[in-house]
Amino acid sequence: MTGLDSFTNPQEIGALYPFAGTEVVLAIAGILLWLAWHVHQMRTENRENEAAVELYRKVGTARALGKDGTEWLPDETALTREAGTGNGAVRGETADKVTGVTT
Amino acid sequence: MQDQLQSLTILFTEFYYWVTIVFMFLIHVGFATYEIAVVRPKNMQRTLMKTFVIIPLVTITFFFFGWWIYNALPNGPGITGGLAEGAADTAAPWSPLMAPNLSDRINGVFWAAFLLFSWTAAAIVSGALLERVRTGAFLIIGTLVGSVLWIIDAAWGWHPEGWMVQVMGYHDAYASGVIHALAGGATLGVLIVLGPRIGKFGKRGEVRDIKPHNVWLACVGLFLIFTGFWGFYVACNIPMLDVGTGGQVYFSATNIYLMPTTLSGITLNFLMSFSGGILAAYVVSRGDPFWTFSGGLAGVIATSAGNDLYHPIQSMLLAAIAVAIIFKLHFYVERRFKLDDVVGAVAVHGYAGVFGVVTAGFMLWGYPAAAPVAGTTAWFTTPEGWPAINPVGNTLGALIMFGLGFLPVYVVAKILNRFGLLRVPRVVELVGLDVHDHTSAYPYFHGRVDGNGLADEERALAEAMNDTATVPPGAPSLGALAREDMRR
Repeated sequence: MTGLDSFTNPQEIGALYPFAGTEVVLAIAGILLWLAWHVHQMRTENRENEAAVELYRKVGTARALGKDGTEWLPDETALTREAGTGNGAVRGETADKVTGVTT
Repeated sequence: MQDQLQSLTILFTEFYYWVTIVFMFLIHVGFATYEIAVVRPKNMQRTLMKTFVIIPLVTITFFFFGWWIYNALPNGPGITGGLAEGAADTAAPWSPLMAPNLSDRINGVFWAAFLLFSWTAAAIVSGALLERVRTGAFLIIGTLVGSVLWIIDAAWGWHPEGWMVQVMGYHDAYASGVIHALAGGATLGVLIVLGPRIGKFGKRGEVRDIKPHNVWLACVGLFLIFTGFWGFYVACNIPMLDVGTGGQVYFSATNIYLMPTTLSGITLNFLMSFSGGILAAYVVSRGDPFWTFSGGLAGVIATSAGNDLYHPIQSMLLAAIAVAIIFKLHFYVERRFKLDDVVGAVAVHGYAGVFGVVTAGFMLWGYPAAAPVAGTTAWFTTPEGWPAINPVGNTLGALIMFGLGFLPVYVVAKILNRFGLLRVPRVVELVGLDVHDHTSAYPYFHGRVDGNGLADEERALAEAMNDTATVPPGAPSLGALAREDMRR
């Protein structure tokens, strides 16, 4: 039994949901989860930005930018590996070249 | 529900608000559409996430405390009284009425109609900050605007017993001030702290037009916002209320202050102000698509405060005048103060909203604002002793609305910036918000970039930043990195 067991006399029924009486606990739990979500989101975003900055330091900002500022890095692993071995593409050979994609 | 007529009234009202909520969803389809169209492809996906995730955050916080604020604070508190009685019974998150309950059928849909206004207030701030604000920072600021600030001013000036209505005679039927001026002020508060996008202003201070990557989709987005605006307008009304006096029954739709109006009337005014705004924007922008569409929106906003009572031609003319002013003002502020408002939100919402509230004070001077509350004395009254709409109350009210958005958000933005949480690192902004964690939004498409020197400058800057994207020794945060890069 979690709540109602009959809809007879609907004019005398108020709350329809189960576990009526737990509303305060539910509200506190919801507010704590909301605050935790913001903390988690901020931390995740921090980590992503730090990783991005680190990657761009390795491969060079200009190369990461790609042509016209509209490209992306399709294979970070390859870029990082090549940057580490000194075989990175020169200017104008963008991420596509590294990954063998022809555009 | 005891009899058929009462049942019909209640169920009709419940369904009426429910329909407005569905319509108002289109506002947010529109916001998402035009924001991703306005940004460059390297920023699309983060932009979409920022615009979309604010919706559930405002929803849950409006459930937790936003609705209670509206019900509890019409007296200030401390201006015309204390916390309103019964607010917790109706609107606290633990209230049985904030859940499926056979003894109430209106609270949930009324809450949701206000919630959709809250989404709008938050979304207005979003567009101006595109391409450089951190997602987390916007989500905090948007929640503050959507679930706290606007609903405080709604309790004060958009409630039949609100102290601004009862004392000042404040009138703002369709939220020129309580939504748009407030959100415009909040937007300005963040923008001042956030700063412009890389490349927006050239070395000699010249303004560069960073074009939407898809102009027509941006306009479709604005068209969707217009469509959703119908839901917004009708949700500001009570559909059926006995407004008769002296014992006589007279049913009418009313505005939010429970003063009579008609859905037919606001339909006329919505369409005429929309048209006046578009026609003026077309002329002053010389047919620029984005500004012509935005002009329609600004025209409606600039007349919304009085669109329950204006003549349609008055609405049309006021909208046209407002749009000409706000268009010029937007570009003046951009040039003079180097303010990079990506979508013109401060102008379209902030300036137009203030214009709307101030002009309504003059145009509707002497109209009853609301039925008087016992024990409250209004600055100006009608011959029957009701609070009267007046230019002083509405002009001061417009400043309160704009300021209530501006000041708290400016302070929060300063705090976030202090901890490096407001703006993405400049190297990430330069490369693109999506680049590190997403694949391309257009994997099979390589578009042409029309040159105004921006792309070349970005590349030169990126070359100069090679090997510099490191956190300086002792720097506490990525925000410090952003500032370091700026000095280079």
